[in-house]
Amino acid sequence: MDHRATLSTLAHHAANDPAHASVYARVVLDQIAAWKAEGGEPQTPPGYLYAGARSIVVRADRLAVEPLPEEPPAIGGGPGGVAITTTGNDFVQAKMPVDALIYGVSGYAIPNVLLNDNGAQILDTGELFAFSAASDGRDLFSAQWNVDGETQFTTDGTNSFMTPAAALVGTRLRPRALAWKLKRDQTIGVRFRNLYNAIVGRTEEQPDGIAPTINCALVFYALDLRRLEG
Amino acid sequence: MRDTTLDDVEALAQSMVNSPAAAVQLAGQLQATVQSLAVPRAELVTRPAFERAALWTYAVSFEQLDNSGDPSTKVIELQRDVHVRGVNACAIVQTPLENFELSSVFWLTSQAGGGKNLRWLFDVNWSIDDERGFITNGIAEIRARGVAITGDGEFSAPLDWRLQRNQTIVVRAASRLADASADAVEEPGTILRWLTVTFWCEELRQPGT
Repeated sequence: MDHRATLSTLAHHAANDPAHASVYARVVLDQIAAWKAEGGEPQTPPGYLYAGARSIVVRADRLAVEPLPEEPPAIGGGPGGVAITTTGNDFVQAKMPVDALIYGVSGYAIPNVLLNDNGAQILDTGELFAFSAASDGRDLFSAQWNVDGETQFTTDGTNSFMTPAAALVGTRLRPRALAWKLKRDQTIGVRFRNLYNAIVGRTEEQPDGIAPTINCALVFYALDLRRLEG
Repeated sequence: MRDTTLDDVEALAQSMVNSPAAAVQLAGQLQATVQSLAVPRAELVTRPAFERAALWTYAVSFEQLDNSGDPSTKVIELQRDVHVRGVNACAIVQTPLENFELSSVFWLTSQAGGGKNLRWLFDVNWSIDDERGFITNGIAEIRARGVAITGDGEFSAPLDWRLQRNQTIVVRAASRLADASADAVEEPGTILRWLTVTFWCEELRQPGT
């Protein structure tokens, strides 16, 4: 656990157990001393408008599954299916409102209730989350990003492809650290794919399988790089 | 309004230590102050090259790894000079819906400590230019469980390699599904459907070059 997370945990315990708050405060001081002994957190350099830290959210709602190549042709699979490493979905674009430094990214997916043809509920969101082995449902979808529609930045050096978000981005608690700078009006493009049919196989005997739609997003954390006047 | 700093937290905690009676009242404020700590960023802003740093993900994709345990090999060929900072992995097991009881065991095990992203269901290792193996028993290169040597995206298992363009990272992976559940290999349709291993990289090129 890093120092920030430790401080947050200690403060949480202090708030929930005020009778021992001073004891927790002592541990907080010890933790801060240890942190500073390691060199501490980098100090904020002067001159930037950091207060305007932003979240750039790129999202897709009610994203349906796409047939996999090996699925029975009757449900759209077969040779015409879409390889698991790509998607037929378009890139969703987000435009930078200011010059900014992208310093982190997280992701999440939330499945929508699964209904049958008669509108009756088969599984609710909580039950559908049981198919996820990653935090925030990040293995329920794959993603890939580009900048200004140009380079796909996930690649084996020869081909670009999508990966499950669980191996591409972090969570809100622990975002993946990034460090790239964008100018105002540049765009981040992200495309998503619902992976439920890769997790729960559909068979000829059970062609309907389980294919809920999902709401998913990548959230890019950005620092406003405009300088303070004067 | 200025950002909250570590010094603010320290001052508040010190006042709580000095006055346990007041600490009862200040506990909630301490929590709010910690939560409002400014994000660390000076290191990023002051570094010389962040135009395109930490943007790249080099990755390999293994599809439908069979249950025999035999390894498959994939190769990453680097397009540019990079600093590889960490490695992560995610496995997806495909199970027909009628075997939900079996498949739920996998997910429950992940939640119960087996490791996020089903990283306990495969072995993996990697080498650079297929020469220098980094996952070894001291004598020979071996494979290790993904949960032991890869991250899950929430944390990235640290690496610290500076590699040149055209160098390669060779990744070998094998399913251990058969070790996890005999039922899994006996039931048709249950397979390690997709495994991706991702290396999170920073580009070493300086801006404008």
